[in-house]
Amino acid sequence: MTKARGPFGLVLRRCLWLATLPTLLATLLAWWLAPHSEGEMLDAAAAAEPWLAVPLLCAAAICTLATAAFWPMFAQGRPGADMVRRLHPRRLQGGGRAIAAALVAQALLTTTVLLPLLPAIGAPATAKAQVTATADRDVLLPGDGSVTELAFTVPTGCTYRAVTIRPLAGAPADGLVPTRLHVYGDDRALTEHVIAVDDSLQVFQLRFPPRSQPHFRLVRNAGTVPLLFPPGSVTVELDGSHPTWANALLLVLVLLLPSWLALCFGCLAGRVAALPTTNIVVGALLFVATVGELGPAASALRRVLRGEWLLGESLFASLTRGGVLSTGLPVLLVGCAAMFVASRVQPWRRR
Amino acid sequence: MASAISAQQLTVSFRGRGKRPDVIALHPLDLELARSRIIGLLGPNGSGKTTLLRVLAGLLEPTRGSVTVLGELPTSKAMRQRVAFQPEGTLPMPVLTGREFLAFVGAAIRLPNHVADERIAHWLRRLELDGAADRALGGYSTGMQKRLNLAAALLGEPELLLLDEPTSGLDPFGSELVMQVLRERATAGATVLMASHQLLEVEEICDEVLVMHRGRLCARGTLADLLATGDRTLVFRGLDDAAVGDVKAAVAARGGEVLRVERSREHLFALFRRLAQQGDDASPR
Repeated sequence: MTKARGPFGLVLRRCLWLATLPTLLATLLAWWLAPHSEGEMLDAAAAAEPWLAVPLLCAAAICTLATAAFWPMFAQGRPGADMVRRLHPRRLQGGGRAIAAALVAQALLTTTVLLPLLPAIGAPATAKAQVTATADRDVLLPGDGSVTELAFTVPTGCTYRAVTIRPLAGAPADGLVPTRLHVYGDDRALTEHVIAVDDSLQVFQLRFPPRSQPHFRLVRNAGTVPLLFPPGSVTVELDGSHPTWANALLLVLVLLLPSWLALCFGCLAGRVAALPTTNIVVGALLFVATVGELGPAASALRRVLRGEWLLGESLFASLTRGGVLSTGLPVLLVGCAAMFVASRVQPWRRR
Repeated sequence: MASAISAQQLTVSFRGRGKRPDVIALHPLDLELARSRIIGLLGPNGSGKTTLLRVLAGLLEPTRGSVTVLGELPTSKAMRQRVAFQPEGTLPMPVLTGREFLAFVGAAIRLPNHVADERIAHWLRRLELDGAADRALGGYSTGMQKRLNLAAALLGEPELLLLDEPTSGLDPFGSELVMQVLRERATAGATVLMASHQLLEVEEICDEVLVMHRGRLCARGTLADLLATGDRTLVFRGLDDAAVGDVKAAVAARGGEVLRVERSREHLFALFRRLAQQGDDASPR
């Protein structure tokens, strides 16, 4: 009695068979080598991102390349391609089901990796939605004291309870005195806590009681270090939280996007090219979309490790304001377009 | 009942690469083949045999003309089960076992799982592959791949079998087995169209042959018609030397000629089988 009979079952089984052991070994390696944070330091778990990316990339690479190597229609002139083409005469000749199986296999492996590994390396137990605050003007606080405050705007309707700041610091003209910042709403300080910045990319968080006013100000009290606030360097944390496992599941979906893109183009390449070319196309696209940070995959992992809810404050906002969907949707659509073209391109007529 | 294969002015050409002219693989071909027969497709390499089979299997669109198979277009959905195509060459997905590969084929032609499993067991046994059913295809010999390929073709109990070199690479036993199976299918009502270079096998099994050369059908008919020379030949057996002399004299007196006198001998295949049997007996497993 044979259980897997169609392209979906056969490819799924093949991917799991090949990818499970290497992915689990890479997971153990990541767990062993990654710095483990205690949950006290803000963003500390994000330092584990390069190590955590290894098992995730391992699962993606093996599932995509195994699919291209297994299913004969991912390349021209493979042995038995005529037989498979006759048995699966639709436009993609089973390629769509093979891709779906590869993605399901990758999703299963990635979920298995992420759910235990995230708490193990000290990722925050809950994820909070973060919204980028936009500054009203040139986002620079010079060290000479000519500008002492910046006003920021938060999307209306948001209730927020913390501001996270990651400024870039310049060299002071005089002696180095850390720049001290307060956060003000209207005319009064939202918190008594003051931050002191003396270097670039330090991360500070100022917490205060929940508020929904759309404006706040950063006010410099003292210091000589000039600060630059590029877009995205000031975010507010919305009230309410989501479990990290739900965030991890969203991350799994995001991590499928590079594989989707690679396999769709692999399917297209397979119409006119042999297997080595298809492998190069699949491997290169996977590399660019993950390590090369094309699309949301790499930044999404970082955000999950920082405890940021991937969907932001709303689905619509995620689509429009630099959220995961706004970067992920183009990848999804480009993959769909490649798939559509593949379904229209007839394989070369060969003797 | 519609004929097994019907083609009118069927033409296939391939576009030449660059400035090379188009290659005409099949010149306009008219063909009408009856059902329940074994038809041999002969011709040298590049004569258009495989191209014709691929058109009939629905894998290649004719450039011009029309073709129907069992009364329908070769590309229609029902043809996946009613017509089986066994291409030449190795099987796809070499990591699958023989049984898994047949299950894959069974699912693709929409056989219910229990029916597929029964037929898989039957054909694996019939084609003497049951011992290797759970081994990966990559480890199969050429002959085993050929037999498994035939098992895959027979799984849907098709009405028409299109076979490309079904016995090339097979040992004499495998070849004999395949011939037996094809005879059985033809007796059961299936039509078999097989391209082959094994002329002796074609002569032995086929009811009719088509001979192709450079994309054209150059001869067609039953073997009896094609091979007949108009002469009559007498074959004797069991005569001693004196009787042979008498026969020669009698033949000469009537204007005939005795071309050859041979000692009777057994067929090479019978010798091969007998020796193999002796080998088996001498080294019991």
